[in-house]
Amino acid sequence: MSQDWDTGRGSMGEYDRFRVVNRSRRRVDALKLALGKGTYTDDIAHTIDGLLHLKVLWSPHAHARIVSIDTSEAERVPGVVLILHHGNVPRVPYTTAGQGHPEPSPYDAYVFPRKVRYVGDRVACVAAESELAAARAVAKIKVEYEVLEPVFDPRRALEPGAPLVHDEEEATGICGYDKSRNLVCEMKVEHGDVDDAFARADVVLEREYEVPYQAQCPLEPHCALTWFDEDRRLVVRVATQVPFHSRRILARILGLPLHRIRVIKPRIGGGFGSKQEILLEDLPALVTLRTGRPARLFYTRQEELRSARTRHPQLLRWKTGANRDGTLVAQELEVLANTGAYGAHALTVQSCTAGKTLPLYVAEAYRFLMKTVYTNLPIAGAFRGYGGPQGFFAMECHMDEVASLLGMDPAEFRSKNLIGPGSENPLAKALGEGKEGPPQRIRSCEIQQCIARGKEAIGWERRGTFPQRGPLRRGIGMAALMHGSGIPGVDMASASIKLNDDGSFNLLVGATDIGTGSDTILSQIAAEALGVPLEKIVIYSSDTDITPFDKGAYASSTTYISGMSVKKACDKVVEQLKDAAWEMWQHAGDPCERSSLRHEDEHVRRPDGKALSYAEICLSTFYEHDQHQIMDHASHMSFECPPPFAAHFAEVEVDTETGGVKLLKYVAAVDCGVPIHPENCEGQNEGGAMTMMGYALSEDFVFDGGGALLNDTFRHYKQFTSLDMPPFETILCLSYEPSGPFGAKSVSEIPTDGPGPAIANAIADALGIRFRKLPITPEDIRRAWRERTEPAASAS
Amino acid sequence: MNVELTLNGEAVSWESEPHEFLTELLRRHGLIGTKRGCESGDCGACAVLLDGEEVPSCLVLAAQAHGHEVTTIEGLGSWERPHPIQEAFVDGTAVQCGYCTPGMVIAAKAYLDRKGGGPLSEREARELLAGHVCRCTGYVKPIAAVLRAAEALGDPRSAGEEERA
Amino acid sequence: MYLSLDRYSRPATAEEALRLVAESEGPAAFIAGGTDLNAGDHEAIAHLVDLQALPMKEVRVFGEPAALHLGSLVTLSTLRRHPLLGGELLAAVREAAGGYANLALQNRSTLGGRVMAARVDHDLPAALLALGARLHVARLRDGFGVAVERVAAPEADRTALDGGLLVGVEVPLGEGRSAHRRFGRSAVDVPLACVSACRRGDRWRVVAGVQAAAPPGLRRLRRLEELVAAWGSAPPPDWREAAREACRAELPEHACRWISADYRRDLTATLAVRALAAVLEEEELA
Repeated sequence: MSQDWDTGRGSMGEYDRFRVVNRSRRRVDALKLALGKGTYTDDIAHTIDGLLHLKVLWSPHAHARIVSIDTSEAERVPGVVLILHHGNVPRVPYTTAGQGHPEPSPYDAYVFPRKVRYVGDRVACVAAESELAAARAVAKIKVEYEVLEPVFDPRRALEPGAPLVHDEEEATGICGYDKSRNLVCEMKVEHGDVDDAFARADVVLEREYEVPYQAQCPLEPHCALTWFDEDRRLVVRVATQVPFHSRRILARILGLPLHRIRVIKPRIGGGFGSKQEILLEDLPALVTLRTGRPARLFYTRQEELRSARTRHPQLLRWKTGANRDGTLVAQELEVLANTGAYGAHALTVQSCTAGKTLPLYVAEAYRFLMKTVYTNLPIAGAFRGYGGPQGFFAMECHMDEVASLLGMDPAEFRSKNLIGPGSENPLAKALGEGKEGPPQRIRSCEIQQCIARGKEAIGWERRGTFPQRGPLRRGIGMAALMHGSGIPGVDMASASIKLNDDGSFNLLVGATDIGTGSDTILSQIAAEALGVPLEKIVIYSSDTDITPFDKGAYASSTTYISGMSVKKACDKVVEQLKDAAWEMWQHAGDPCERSSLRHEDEHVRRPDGKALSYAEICLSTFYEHDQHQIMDHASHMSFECPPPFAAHFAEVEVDTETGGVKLLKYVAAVDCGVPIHPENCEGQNEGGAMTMMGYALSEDFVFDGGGALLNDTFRHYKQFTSLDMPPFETILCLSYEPSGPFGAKSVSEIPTDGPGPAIANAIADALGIRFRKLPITPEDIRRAWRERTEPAASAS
Repeated sequence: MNVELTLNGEAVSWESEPHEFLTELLRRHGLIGTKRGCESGDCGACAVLLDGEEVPSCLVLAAQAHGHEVTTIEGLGSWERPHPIQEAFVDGTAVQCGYCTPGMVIAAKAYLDRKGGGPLSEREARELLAGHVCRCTGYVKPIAAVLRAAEALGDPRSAGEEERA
Repeated sequence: MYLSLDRYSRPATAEEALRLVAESEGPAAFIAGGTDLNAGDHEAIAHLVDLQALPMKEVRVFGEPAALHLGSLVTLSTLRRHPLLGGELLAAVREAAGGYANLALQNRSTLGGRVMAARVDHDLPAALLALGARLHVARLRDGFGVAVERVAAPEADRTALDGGLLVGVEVPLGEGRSAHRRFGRSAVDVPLACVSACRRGDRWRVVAGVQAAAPPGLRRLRRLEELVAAWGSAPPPDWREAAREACRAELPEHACRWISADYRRDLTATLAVRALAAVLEEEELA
């Protein structure tokens, strides 16, 4: 097959003809939710008779062997029905990472470990008639621990003699499984002659950066309900991003044939990656299997913060070689990542740290070195951005530092070195999803437009001209970004669609709307492809018994991959509609040319003006002539992964007396191809950026000396609020991606990459002080300012 | 123990226990628009009106609410006649995952009722939403929706609509 | 969400309330708004005595010289917007009340709750102490009835409140001006530090509150008060530096998991200067 590397500009003609896509329609689910009627996982709990409630006993130790568990007293608590722990649940190694098969994550987890590895690890689980009874019983379980020395520092974890987090035989998939070290995985990737390129560069700059833990904080905590249906099949209703992976992994750990399990994804209250984990549904499932009764587990916010998943903390070293004229020559990135107690997503998140960042700038040579280690701290996993925010913080701070070294304007320096349409991604092959990746060449790319329009919106020319006002200093910073659209060569999605006798369609998708708006977007794509209004699409998503397969809501894949499967299925149904219409006219003695038929406005039309409505066609095919159901299905997998591009700009005011940072304005210009639902794209952009403003300034995990999380409530884990959010401008820089549905690329993750570096760069512009560690706290700023302005004070 | 409430305008008398919070009492009786999000009053997902004032129902014991008026999201609007605040959230694409939306609608209702008309400033809109954590929207569209709702409610035509509803 | 409560009572009088707690079989506690209920440490409470029916919601001016009486069930929302709490003297109370968490919690959280149960948040206690408030504490009298004591708003030591029921707070009125300044990591946060300052004629009170649950809790900055009082109405041109130094010198060494002792002291000094500036009617940062 010949590759057509069309850059998209030639296809823009289609853009003017859109009727449903590229319009901000009412979201199909919005009114239901605003009325409080959206039924999330737990919203049917009150209707289930005989429901058992579960509470988990969590490890109070960061590292300890369980010597014995005595449940006798707990069992006597009124209402207790079952207590599960490692002594009565089979030990099956698996990974909680809800990824495709085979998962590129180590099988290092067990339903109940014999050795607890962080404060918040599972020890036991009580099922009782009420949550209170379960909680009371949990408090009465007696556990004898042999407390082991913990390791918290990822550098220390690699040293000889460090405590070993995973030293048991059954685990598999740990990189070069070597029990003498805590190494989960390791990568070394090179492109070009790196050492030679650095040797030839006029200037070389090397700096170290550090990024912290961050919690996903979906407002709906993790929750699962399980029961037996009338055929004694296990039904699992769970707040998940990955119902099909959940079913597959549950079958493995429960020892149940997959066809005996049905996973239903109801309405989801946000996931952000944390619900890409098979985090809790195994416990109620076990209870239902053992007792025959329905079971429910609902995490508290404290459990969510302590024992769900997080963003991988990393130490990054970035080295750049450049010439005096501002040309980049070589780039080197070394990452030491902390996956915490288990290795879910350890390889792939860190591989994305390089894969999303390094290719953004053209250089002769690249090197990426990565190690991910276990520690006795909370488990990292998937989090919107998936390694990108860590890498972009380092790279985009570093680019400002290199520009400064060269005496260049940071925006101009970036523009000079960015990839563009036709560029090949030199690292795509080496940085695949746990295996070799397919080659990638950029088609649609409007990053230069993003930078130009973003500069104008923020008032870039004001940079460096702000008058000082008392202790206040102002600055402006930027970051250039790219991300991906799905996992090329891996992610597959499918859809099926059927015609009803009023001309409406039932659209069944495996795609999982977790609040992203994909039910709306996929309906829009279907409506556009079929030539019907949005109201004529009845969508149902994600039920493993009913809908076809979809990889799940992750990797910025739903619009691009799932959307294309919908479009393909609809295109096939359009052909069936035309066939049926042609046949109807033929049968009526009024034949026409099949190839002359068009479809629009819910009709199949002939050039002579005659038309048959979809409803007429359906009634005929149901009841009259050539009877059959007009329906079809399609799957989509892409070897291409077109990156969306963006440029973010922040203006800050720093109070040098308190160290407080006030965001005055934020601009995020994004090229996501054709925005299927422009306002929804804005919402994704605004929410993704807001999440990471907290990452930049206020969110962090604070541990006590024993590794227990101290800020485990929303009172103390500080996300941005409506009062912190600055005036925000989204600029949609249109492009047309030829490989996407109606020209679309992804939009959900790219906004998470920008705020860390854009804000850090703005603070550096304001103060002339570079902060290389997130979050940039008021104390950090104040200390650095005092060191600068009162050298005597800092010496004391 | 029995808890008696005027719930969404109707008298109810429900069996409860001393340790039960209002969130759970409501949800147990099918009023599932009131969400459980943080159990510490910091996220706003469980907001209801208690005697007309916005409160976090996760920190109100069911027993404490005995003898009071409680309005939940279910009492605000219906499929046939959504409340103007709900309309504004829907029309403004301010609903993403939707878990925070009922709480935000309740907060706007409480604030606008107390204010009793007059233009709403953006600062006020931000303040009334400040106890409502939302990880999806970035607050931009909810703030705009609240401003739009205030404008619609200030318009005598839609105010009359609300009265009939 | 897992209180182990067996019993809930709603007494109508202070005496009944005190007796219910005193005679309770298991551990018992008063509840006003209940906003701290879910913050942990309450699993042991078996019996909650709800004070909502007690007549402790009044806001009124009484006596000569005039004082403002605030019932301990007055909510923070009421403190923010009640007409009797307008004016320059009580600015610190309004600002401290308005800084607490969010509007819904301000609707539930009470004056009494913030004084009695505040664990990490010292905004309102700091403002009350700066204003020289006195607390009205009811205790069971031997035999029958209750006696109400008037005690000064405490700094770190709260033993004066033990075993009693805070029924209200009395704030002396008159000429004066106050301000409260706080600083957190985000707009809705438990403050890392806060300071209340109040001037009545030539008398000053400056109170620092810190986030830590452990002492020092609140601290009156007496040397700073003397320094500022000595300036009268004409502070020297370099008063900010002088005040900052006085404040730093007087603040204790106190680190916590969130911030270092040095930063806490430095931040508190900055807030003190800003609170003083607001009272001195100097230009202040918005």
